[in-house]
Parts: sequence; structure tokens; C-alpha cells
Amino acid sequence: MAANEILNATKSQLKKTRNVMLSLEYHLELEKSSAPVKTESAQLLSQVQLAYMKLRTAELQEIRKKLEENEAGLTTGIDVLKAKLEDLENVKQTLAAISGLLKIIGRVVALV
Amino acid sequence: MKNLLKIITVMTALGMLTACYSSRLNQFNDFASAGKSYSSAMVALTKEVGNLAIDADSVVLLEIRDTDTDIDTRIKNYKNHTKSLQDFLTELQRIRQHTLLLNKYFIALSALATTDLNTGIGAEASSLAAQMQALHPAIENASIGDAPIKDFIGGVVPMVVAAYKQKVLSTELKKNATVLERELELQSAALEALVDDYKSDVDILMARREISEVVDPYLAETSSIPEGWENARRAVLNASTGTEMAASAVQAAKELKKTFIALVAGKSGQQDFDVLFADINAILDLIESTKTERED
Repeated sequence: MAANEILNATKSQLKKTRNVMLSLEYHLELEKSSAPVKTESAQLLSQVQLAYMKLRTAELQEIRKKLEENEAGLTTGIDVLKAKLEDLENVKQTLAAISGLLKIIGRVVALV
Repeated sequence: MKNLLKIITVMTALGMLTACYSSRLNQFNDFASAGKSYSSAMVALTKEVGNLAIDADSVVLLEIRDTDTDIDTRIKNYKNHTKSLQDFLTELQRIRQHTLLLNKYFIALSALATTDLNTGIGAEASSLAAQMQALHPAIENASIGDAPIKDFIGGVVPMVVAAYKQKVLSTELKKNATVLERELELQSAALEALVDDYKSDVDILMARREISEVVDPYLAETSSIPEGWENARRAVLNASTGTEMAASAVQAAKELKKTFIALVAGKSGQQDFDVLFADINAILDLIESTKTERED
């Protein structure tokens, strides 16, 4: 994939993830979870939103090389997350997939 | 008698030609009216898109607030969110500016269709086209949705300019019809890019509303349900998703361009204008209903 395609796919997945994390279905699944899982979920939502905002305003030229270097990780991370978001019954697994993708994105843009 | 018949035939033909020509020129007036309505609809739509983006971002900001354990993190998050929103609102403002220039341009064309005097309107029209071109790169390169607006821009459509008796009108169209075709395409592309973000923000707000007004009160461990809960549930479940409005806006931008191409070529008909006005009115109606639903 070209760098701009990797960037667009990553932004798109982050936006979808954010929306799922704010959806009724996710809210109902999260209601059944423990307090630490709820906290982890909120922290990851914050990171998803921050990553989305950073990638949205990032200059492609500046992150092109890092996107290309991490193409495989990003593509796999997106695929894994897509599958997890389709079945929200296991919140912990969904959060692990979100965390996994964010780690790769963190190699492209700073998420602090 | 034969001569009289010839004269009547020639006069009738001339009358029909004049009527036809006059009708063609009136279409510039109709197009300016359509441009004005389109402009009003787009200004209202982009303002609504901006409001929705702010509201959706506030939902996210409030959701993550509890996990921002220290004040520095809260400040950083607030600043990041606000900066990102301001960038987005600036892009919307630029699109509105472009739309208003288009409106002024169509009014100038309509004036040129009614006079051939050198009143400076031709120069004004050219200046408006140049101002739109100057805004073009910034809008084209803006990343509004998941991709830059330029990714939505279609190929150039060759423009055919019909012969007009008004020299200034002909000169202006020959000079800038191609420029306008690109600017109208840019409007359409910007709207397509906006639609995705718009739908996404509407989804967030609808879900939040359902959770806070309907689901959480229902799941709460208290024995009573808040007064008006049934009405709130009905309102939430019946609320429109905004998808229809987004589709109408994109359609109106495409129709505006299509009608402009036909108008310049002298091939536009009343049907083109009927379709265009119907699309524009649909946006205005939907903006009103969405606003009402959100304010209830």
C-alpha cells in the first residue's frame, strides 16, 4: 500500500473504533465489566481520540517513512481490531486489540 | 397575400428566436437564484456540521475526563481537542467563503446576461473567479474526513460555451467557465469529504443521547423511571440519522455543476432547475428538522 493509503486506513479505523467505544452496544457490554476494565477502556478511548487527531493533522511527508516501515504491523493491527469490533462480547479482548494497534501507531506519531 | 404570409412567417420565426434567446438569458437569472439558495443551504449545513463536531468532541472529552487523573493531563487533552476542533472550524469557514464567492459570481453572470454595457461587472466576475482559485489549494489539501478533499475531486469536464450576443458575458464565460467547473467540482468534493465526518458525529451524539436519556435511567437501580422517559425514548428512536441530508447536499452540489455546464452551453432547461431547487430545498428542510430534533 502507498503511504497515503496506510494513513487513510489507519485514520478510518481509529474513527470507527472511537465511535464503537461510544456506542450503546459497547456501553452495555462495558456495564458488565469490572472497574479496572472500565478505567482501561476510558484511557484507551482517550488515546484513540488523540491518535486520530494527531494523524488527521499530520503532514504525510513527515511520517511517510515511519508509515512504510510499520505497514505490516498497522495492517495486521487494523485487521485484528476490525474482527474484535464486530463481536463486542469480550471487552478485554477488544481492548487488547485496540492497545495493540495503538502501540504500532505510537511508532509513527508520539501519543503523549 | 403571399408577401404578407412571408412577412408573418419571418416575424413569427424572429419572435420565437427572440423568445428562445430571452429565455436562455433568463436562465442566468434562475441560476443566480439557485446559486443563492445553494449558498444559503451550504452556509447553514457547514455551520450545523461545525456544531455537531463540537458537540461530538465534547462527548469524547467528557467521557475521558474521569481518567485524566492529574490537572496537567486534563489541560493537555483539553488543548489538543480544542486545537483540532479549531483547525476543523477554520476549514469549514474556508469552504463557506468559497461558497459565498460562487454565489456572488453567479449574480454577476446574471447581471452580465442583461446588459452589454461596460459597467465593471465583467471585471468583478473575473476577480471573483480569481479569489475562488486562490482559496482552492488550501481547501483541496485539507483533511476533513479520513482523506484529503483532493481525493474526492473528479476529472475535468470539457466546457462548451454557447454564442451570446452580450460580448462581456461571452468573454467572461470563455475566460472562466473552465475555472468555474473546477470550483464547482471542489464544492462537491468538499461536501463528500464532510459527509463521512458528519455521519460519524451524528452517530456519536445519537448514541450518547440514547445512553444518557433512555438506557442509563432504565438500567438504574432506583425503582422509579424519570418522568417523560417514554417520550424521550420515542424521540431518540425516531430521530433522523442525518444520512439523508448529507446525501442531498452532495447531490445538490453535483446538480449545480451539471446545470452550470448545461447553462453555459445554452442547453439548460426548466427541468434542470426544478431538480436543482428540489435538492437544495431538501437540504434546507432537513437542516431545520435535524436542528429541531437536537434542540428538543
